[in-house]
Amino acid sequence: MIESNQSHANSIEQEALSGRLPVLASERIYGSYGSFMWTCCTFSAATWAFLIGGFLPYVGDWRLGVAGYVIGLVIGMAIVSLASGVPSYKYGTDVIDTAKSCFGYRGIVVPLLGLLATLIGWSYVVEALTSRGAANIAASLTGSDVTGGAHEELVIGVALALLLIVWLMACKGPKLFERLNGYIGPFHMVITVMMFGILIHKFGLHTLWVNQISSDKMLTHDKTRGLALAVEFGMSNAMTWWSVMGGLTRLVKRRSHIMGPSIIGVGLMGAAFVSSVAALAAISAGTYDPTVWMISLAGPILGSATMAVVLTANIATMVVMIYLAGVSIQQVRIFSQIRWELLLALMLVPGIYFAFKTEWLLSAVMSWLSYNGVMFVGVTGITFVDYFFLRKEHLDPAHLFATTGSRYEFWGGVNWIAVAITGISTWGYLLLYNPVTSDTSGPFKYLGASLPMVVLSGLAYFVAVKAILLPLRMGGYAASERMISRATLSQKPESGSVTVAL
Amino acid sequence: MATKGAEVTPDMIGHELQLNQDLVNQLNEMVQGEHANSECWASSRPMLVEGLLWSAFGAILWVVTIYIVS
Repeated sequence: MIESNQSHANSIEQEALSGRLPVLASERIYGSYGSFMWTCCTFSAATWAFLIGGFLPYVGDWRLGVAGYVIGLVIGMAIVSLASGVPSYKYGTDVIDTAKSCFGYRGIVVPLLGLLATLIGWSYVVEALTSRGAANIAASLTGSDVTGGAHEELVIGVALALLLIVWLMACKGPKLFERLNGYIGPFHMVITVMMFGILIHKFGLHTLWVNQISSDKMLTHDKTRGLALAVEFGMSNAMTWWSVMGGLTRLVKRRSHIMGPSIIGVGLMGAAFVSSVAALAAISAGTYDPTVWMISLAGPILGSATMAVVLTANIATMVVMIYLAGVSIQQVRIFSQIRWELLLALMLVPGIYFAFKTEWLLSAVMSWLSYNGVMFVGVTGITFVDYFFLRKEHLDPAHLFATTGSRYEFWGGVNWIAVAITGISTWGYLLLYNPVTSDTSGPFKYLGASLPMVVLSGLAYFVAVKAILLPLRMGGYAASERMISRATLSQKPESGSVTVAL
Repeated sequence: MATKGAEVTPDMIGHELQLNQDLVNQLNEMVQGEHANSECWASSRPMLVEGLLWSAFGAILWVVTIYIVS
């Protein structure tokens, strides 16, 4: 009997970690500052950090590019960690479940689509970056042309192998990647320091410091505007982490392990440091792509070994993204009823097609993903203001899963105010800054685009709740409704209880 | 463990009903058990303050950089 209870308890813990069941304090897996920080760092330091870093010198001065990128990441990650990470930390719920308090149980389809586009879209991009990186290494070693079809079989093989490994690891759940990232993260940082050292050794500190890209390639010659562009790169990158932070902080035990590890791990180490090395390489070595310059500078053996490590670290990134997407996609009823392993496989299946289309993926999808951060500026502003200023850090967790009579029902399950503000904030962002053409207008030069839109959307939501939802007694915003209900399966719940279901 | 109050067994009911029963147990345990006495349930103010300090650090860095380049 005791064994049966223990086995059931273990299966609940497994369901909580791989599903939408709230993860309670005793079941959480990140017990130290370092373990969460290294997961954040490993996740952030994928090959895309090199890709983004390669763009930083184009703001007119690589030093301004790096400074602005750090500024944007620090401010952006602080806001996003509060908006997405803190509510999920308290209640152990997925970020999409906590977002029901402001979007409604049907309105959450808006942030859910953004989240799935981000996590699954970037997973396939990382798949393509890794497989093409492997081909670059092979081409560098053999002296052949990487653009021809000579290495296409290798690209496809690596991509398919990657999908299989990611599936196997993601099936094991977050406990495995918590342990692995404790090694991968520090190792990746050591490798990046070594790459930085190789650049210094080959070009000298002074040359690296003063070299810039040619003037005709710069996006602007106005230093203030260049700084704003770099800040925006960092901040819009941070905005995409709204879809990630809640899914990770629900696994963290201590509140002192939320903010610092997020900002240092994601922002400073994983993104800013790696991107800075890529920025320097883009200028002095002629390409941001480490699979090209590392082998030419460090030689075939050291260069290939280093790049193999860097590309292998992409696996950890893909595993975390597929895990988070797997938890969130269970908001769609049909996906919550299938086995975890099958669910992960279904999400990875399109990757088989993309394994044969990696070049197309990198050219077509990358420009679309430039708009990625835009999707979350409104969502971040709304969820931040909702949790801290309107609900005073109090949600009713049972009502996040209510089948009927939810406090967060709004209009038929949709809070059209939050949906409208999200749409308008996206439009406002694009008025200030177009991430594809780099056209800017208005106050962008001093404020960027994400920050004003996060503030304005939060402010607009605050005013709309006070002016519309409170008088209509919708959304459970009244202080008298700030209570905790009991959950039940009964279809006729007693007073103070609510019927819940996944 | 959070599910000690569950009186249903996997043999007796379907997977979906079992999951929903587990959800009920987790939610009720969250507000009255060990979780409610843990740090998770405590005030988020320290995190808010830390977030504001990081933002202030970023903002100062931004203003100083603008001052240097202009």
